[in-house]
Amino acid sequence: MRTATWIEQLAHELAALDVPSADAAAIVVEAESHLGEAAADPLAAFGAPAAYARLMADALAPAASAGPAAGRVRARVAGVHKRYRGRTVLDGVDLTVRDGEAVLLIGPNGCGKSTLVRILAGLQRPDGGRVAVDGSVGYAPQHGGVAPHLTPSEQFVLFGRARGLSRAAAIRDGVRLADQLAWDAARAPVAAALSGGTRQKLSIVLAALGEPDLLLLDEPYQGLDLDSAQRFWELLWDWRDRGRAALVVAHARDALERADAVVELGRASAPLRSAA
Amino acid sequence: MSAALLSVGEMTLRGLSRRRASLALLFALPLAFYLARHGQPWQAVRFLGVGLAWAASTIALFAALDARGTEPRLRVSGWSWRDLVAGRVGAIALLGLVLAGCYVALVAVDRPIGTTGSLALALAVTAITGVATGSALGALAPRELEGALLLFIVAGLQMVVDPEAGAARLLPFWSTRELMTRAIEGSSSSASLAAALVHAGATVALCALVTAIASRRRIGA
Repeated sequence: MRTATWIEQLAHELAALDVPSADAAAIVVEAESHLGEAAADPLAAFGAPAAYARLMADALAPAASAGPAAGRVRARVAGVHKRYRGRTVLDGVDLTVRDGEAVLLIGPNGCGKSTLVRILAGLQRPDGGRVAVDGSVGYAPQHGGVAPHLTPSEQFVLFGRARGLSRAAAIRDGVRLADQLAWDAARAPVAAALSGGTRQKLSIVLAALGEPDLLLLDEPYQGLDLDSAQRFWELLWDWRDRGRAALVVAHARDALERADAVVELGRASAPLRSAA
Repeated sequence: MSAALLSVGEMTLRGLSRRRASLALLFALPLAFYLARHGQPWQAVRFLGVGLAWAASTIALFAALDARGTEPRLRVSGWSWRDLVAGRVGAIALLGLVLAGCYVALVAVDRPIGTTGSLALALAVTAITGVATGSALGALAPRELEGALLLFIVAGLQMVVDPEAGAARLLPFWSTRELMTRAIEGSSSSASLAAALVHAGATVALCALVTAIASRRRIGA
């Protein structure tokens, strides 16, 4: 089959399956690009257009249908540029995160994912472009971010009080969130004595404490075991389903299927798949 | 006092309280200086002041560097950079004053020299200027190694520069020497209480300004 005919049929099948037009366009562009680069036979590379369209629709369905309709814009990045030590790390990046949406930020090492998250958190300034964040932010950095000589409960108080929680409420909420990640934080030792994965759970809980409007999580499940990673996504979906917004930096391929929208840095900054 | 300062200060002290070896060394540093000149009471008290200045500035420096991992994140969570810095520095200053109080009691019991009130003033001012100096160096230093080396330079110059030379007044602990001299010699001393207090006040103000500018830039406004 000729590539043009295969692409045309794929677009037709995606429309017939009610795949949102933005998603359908992204799938078609991705397939076209792959076939162009590899000069491959589309039937050999992807199979029949109808089967491939169904596969893509199924992959989109859980994320797209699970959450409520995306709402108010919590973070908007337009044409952001950033240079670091003489090197351009962000070049005209666009991104939107809305209430009720878990957006995944992916890209190769050094492409500026953490820089973009730090810019959204207000910890770095872009060299150009516009950044607008509406509401409170919970931020978990890629490394560190926890006080090594404090117990989890003490850290819950320190971070919770910053969000206006009482001591008791901060500890209660922290322990509850930790429990959702299958971690008993109430009796845990100081952070320096925790394993890497458990410290990561502490970092996630500290970001989510006090229900900020926007969660910014930079590689949050580095070091988590498979069960904990699954629980992390369930926590995030619960967060999203309650109308909150989240931006997650991750490398794991399974994350692509779990988020509502995917933005890839390092190529074009247009979303690969968007719920916006 | 605001809830922010109390929360940040409390957690700073709780974190430090778990570093028992560090705390033991913090108390040991002025004691070692004092005991090294124990046979010469005036010198012992002078060196006690030097040891306290080093101890207070070191603990403030490393508290500032340790806080770098969490302070930007806490700022995003809702604390202002002022709350974070004032809470931390306030807690360390309190610890410095407790340390000074312990050594006032030690000298009073071990080998009273001059008046206890003058000694208490000298050590209290030393603790505060030490914490202010260490916090400023901690705000400026990019990492631990650079911070420690900066502190060695300041402390070393304080030992090497002739205290009568004009350049000595540019160093942060000049007031300590003047106040200790006055504590030892009494009101007949040539050391000026007013000049020492003005120097200490100016040192603290300058260090506070440096700390504020560097911290605001690092933590984010």
